[in-house]
Amino acid sequence: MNENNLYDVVIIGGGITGAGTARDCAMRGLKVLLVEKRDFTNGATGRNHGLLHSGARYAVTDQESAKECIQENQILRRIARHCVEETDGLFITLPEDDLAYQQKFVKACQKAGIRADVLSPEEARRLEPAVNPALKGAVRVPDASVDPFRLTTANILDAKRHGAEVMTYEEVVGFIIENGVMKGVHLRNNHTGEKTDIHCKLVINAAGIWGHLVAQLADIKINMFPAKGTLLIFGHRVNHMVINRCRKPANGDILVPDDAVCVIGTTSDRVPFDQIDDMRATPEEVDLLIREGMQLAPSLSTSRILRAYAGVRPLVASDDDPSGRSISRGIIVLDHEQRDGLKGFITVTGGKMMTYRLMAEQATNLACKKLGVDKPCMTATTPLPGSEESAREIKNELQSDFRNLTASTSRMAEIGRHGTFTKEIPYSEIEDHALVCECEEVSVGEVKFAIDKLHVHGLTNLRRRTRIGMGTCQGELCACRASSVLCQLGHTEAKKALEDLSVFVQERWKGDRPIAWGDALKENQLTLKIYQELFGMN
Amino acid sequence: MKFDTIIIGGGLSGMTCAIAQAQKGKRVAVIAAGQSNLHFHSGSFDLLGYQQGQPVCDPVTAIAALPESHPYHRLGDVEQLATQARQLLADAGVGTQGDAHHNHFRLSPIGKLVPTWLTMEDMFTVGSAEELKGKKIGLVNIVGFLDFTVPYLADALHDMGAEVTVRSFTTPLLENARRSPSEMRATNIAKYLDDDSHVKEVADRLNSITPRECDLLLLPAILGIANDRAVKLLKESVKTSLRFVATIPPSVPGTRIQSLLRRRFQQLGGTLLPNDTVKGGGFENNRLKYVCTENLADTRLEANEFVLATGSFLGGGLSSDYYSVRESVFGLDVELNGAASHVDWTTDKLFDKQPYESFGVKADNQFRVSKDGTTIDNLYAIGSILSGNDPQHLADATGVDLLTALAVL
Repeated sequence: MNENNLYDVVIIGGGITGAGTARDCAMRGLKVLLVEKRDFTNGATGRNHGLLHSGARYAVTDQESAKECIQENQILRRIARHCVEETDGLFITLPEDDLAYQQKFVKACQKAGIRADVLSPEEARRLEPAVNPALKGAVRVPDASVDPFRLTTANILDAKRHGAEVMTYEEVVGFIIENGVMKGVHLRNNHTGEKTDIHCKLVINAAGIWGHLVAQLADIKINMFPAKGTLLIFGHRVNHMVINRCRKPANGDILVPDDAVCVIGTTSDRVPFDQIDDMRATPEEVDLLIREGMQLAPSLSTSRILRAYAGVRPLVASDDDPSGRSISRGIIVLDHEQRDGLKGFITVTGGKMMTYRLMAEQATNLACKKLGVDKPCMTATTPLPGSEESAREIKNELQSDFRNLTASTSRMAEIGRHGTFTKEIPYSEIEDHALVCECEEVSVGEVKFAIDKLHVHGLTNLRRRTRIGMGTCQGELCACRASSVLCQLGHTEAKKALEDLSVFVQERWKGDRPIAWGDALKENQLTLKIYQELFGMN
Repeated sequence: MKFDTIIIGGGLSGMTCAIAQAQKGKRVAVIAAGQSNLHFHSGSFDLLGYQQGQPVCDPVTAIAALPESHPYHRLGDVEQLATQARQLLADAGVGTQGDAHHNHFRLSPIGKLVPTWLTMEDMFTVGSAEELKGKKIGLVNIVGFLDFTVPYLADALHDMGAEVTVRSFTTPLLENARRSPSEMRATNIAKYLDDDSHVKEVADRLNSITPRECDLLLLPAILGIANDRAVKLLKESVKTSLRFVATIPPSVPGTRIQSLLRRRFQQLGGTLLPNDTVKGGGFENNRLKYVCTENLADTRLEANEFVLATGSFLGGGLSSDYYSVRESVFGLDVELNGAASHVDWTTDKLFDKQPYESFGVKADNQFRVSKDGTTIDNLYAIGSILSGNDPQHLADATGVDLLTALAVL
């Protein structure tokens, strides 16, 4: 075995946990390979609120989680500022809620170290005009909005900068285990079907809910439960602050502003494992979310719903409870050497999207201990790529640039998406300026940058890296434009690219169908008019 | 104000009906809300393109096999109406080629061959894919114009046996337009190029980049927004034979059709009320007496007969909410074919037949609509607001628009 082909650690999963773990491991000098069976952020990372919890939501029920949240909240504001929008949040008490809960809530927040300011209803209405005016109390907390796509990309980029290798569409289909020691993984490429073996000293399973199935490949049972969470996106940014209900956490009680839209969620229902690759929002879930959302911000009743989507949380039952009833939402790092007698295998799961860094730190600490590496974790203090400078500094630097003379709003959109990387977006050719997506102002130059640097093979990858097709038109025209641009830049052959376009449009329908009335139905008729009738696609 | 006929809706169907009525010497008014489906037009008109997933060769004959509920069964002599429609278009300045007994193929914006009935004269068509075998085609685009999918078109033409050479060009004027990136859309470019000297400049560029051996140049349909003057001039000035291919919307050929039909209508003395919406009307003895519009709030627009050509959901003729589907202007009776709950309006697979596509107003054999179960004697519905058609799986949309417009009154 050639020493050069031996990785210290193979990380399974291209969600935020895997990306963060790859970054941490690489920064501590480990030779890292990250493998993802589909695209980055394809699982729960890309299907949540995009909420940077202050921890207030958990303060009353789970102090430990609350403390983790506020700590990581402060850290991400520093290291990932181009992914975070500092909106603050309100916890509102409505007439049917018990105002006594507010006192308990504020006390619990203070105990966890979360700033919680009690506001009068008038003050709350002034700060957030979209809030239900019937509220009888409100508490202001440091909630914020975070872009999980950008955050994952930044972690991947930094992992690579520190020497990590990253492969998408590579699925682990088995392990190489010799005498109770993990020696490597069998991979299958999900585009080509090609199989390869990778050797390593250690495997970290960071595959979210799919981690349950990954562990099974090594004959290890982790008691995971897929918990489906459904969310709705509205076509306008109705609220400027995160709005929560000040009561025991329940369904549909968080409304988060994200870029130009807002998101209400979520539900929580157990689903069988055979459904986790094809989550769909049901009519009942949609009804519930609309009903609850209107309680938070009444103007949602007249706002257009853009789409519905659902993700799967990896809930884990504690090991000493075989019934699986005592479920934790905290971070879980399993040392399978100790637990199951398999040396060189670690699972990191549970937790929350926004505590990914801490999860990565804990998993990497264990990995380093196993490998005999003694390096401290630096991820809490080292800014992620894109966040080294503030948006204003980047803008000032670009100001002198001729490129800024035109399309300055689209440049600002780019800075928002890519931070300091904006400087690397090419504008050397005429066509680089052409806009592919008008809603989100994505240029050909940015698409080129995404192809070169951000692992873009198809439209879905491009959407997640640039927000193409995520704006109000939901990719009506830009999907076709982008697909042709991707094809033209030499990445795919025409028939494959068209197939990809067809799959993309059908995938969008999955999110539109549960809300297909009113504007969404009209929009679908437009889609069919263009794609099926005019283009002749079927 | 009193008219013989008031038409609600200024799209293809409404304008066709308006012109036909004005030609009969009637006093006609059209109330047009805004843009129409012509903005997504392919440059071709369909009568019946597919049946059971297969391309139809002879649409007139194939109509007999359509389900009873299809509007074509209420038309009478389809062939005669088709001839009439083509003549009406030609009189308005929309010259077409095609045969109601024999479909030909248009090249779609992503390179699919789609069966169709009539195609505007300068658009690219083939009788069959075989025609292209060995043909030398120059596929030309404007630099940075993303709404012409060159890789898809080149691949499709190549598959049909053509030898494709790809070229691109720009001009100082287009460079100027480009300074605002959103200007690079087909209709905007067409506005820039709607000037003889600019067309000549484009012709010079084309002549200089045309490959030495070239049977045919294919260009995106970015010329001739109001009429075909610029198109004709370019064809005269370019040495090689030249055809256009539809782009990603907005459609220049469709915009041209819209403005030519409107001009024709006004030349015939018709009254066009653009950018106005009908708010409602007054009924008396099962007749619609008058309508009121947003802009003319206090004026009653009276007529002997009214035609509703407001389109389907996209056009605004139908609207829906969580609970129900309604006809937007008068709350007329609609046909939902048993799909009561919004869950039943759609199906899981996007490109399968979506039930809501066939929703529409209930209309009798003369296309008269009803309200609360009673027929309104002088209110007719035409075009895509009718129930029973299926633009996607039958490719019948523009045929229904044109033929029902000519069959009423």
